Amino acid sequence: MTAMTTIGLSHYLILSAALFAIGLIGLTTRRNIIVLFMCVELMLNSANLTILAYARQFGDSDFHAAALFVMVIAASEAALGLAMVVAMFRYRGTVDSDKLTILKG
Amino acid sequence: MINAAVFYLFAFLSVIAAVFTISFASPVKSAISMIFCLFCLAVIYFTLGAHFVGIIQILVYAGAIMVLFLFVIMLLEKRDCESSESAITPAKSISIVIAATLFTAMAAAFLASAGHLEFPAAPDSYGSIKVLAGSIFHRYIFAFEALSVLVLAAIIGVTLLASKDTAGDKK
Repeated sequence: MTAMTTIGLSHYLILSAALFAIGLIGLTTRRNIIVLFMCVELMLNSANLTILAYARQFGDSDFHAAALFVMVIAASEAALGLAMVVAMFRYRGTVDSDKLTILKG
Repeated sequence: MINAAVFYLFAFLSVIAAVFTISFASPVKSAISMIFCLFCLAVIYFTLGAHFVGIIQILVYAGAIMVLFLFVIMLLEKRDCESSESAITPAKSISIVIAATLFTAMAAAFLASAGHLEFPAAPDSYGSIKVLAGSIFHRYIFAFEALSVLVLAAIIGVTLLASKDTAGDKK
């Protein structure tokens, strides 16, 4: 009964694990590089959720700063990654990760 | 009680939206589901008392980053954007099994360590802008400045990658 009506640390951690697993499935099964980036963002968000859940557990607002810093890094990563996707599309004419075999020996 | 109801509703919605994100064939639909998922996560952050982080999640993630994704998707031509997504292959089912195992292991570990404990009472100033500003601009000022250098480097890198002289003109 108490498990259903009161929300604790484990609920948030399990939600975060679920989002991480979904992102991992997407990352390994999809081919479109833009969708792959979205899956990475999903996994970063699940990590952020873990940080914030532990912040609430310890009652320490300093963790919120860490979550904001993760967001800044995610934004830089998305901007750089998408610029690389556009450059790659100009060069190779595709966003399919299976067709990008330039490093294959 | 209200908190529990809100948590369950938005946790369910965010997981559904995340599943849609990875299962839609069209990247535009994926991006829209992703925006919805990020909104739901912002509400979950609110239930944790992280109000400022939730607002920034909506403004920066759902507002700026996902709009950037949508711009790039629409910049590329539609026929090129649709990559060869095949149905479930043996390799894919293996990856799904691995991810499911990982989730089960993590959930079991979390339940074993954290159990069904309720959160302890947070201090009054928890999550307030004042305390957060103190930690960002005073205690972690070096990390903040390092991040601003990182963002500057990202801006320069993106400009370099996007300019026609340097990238993609090797044909």
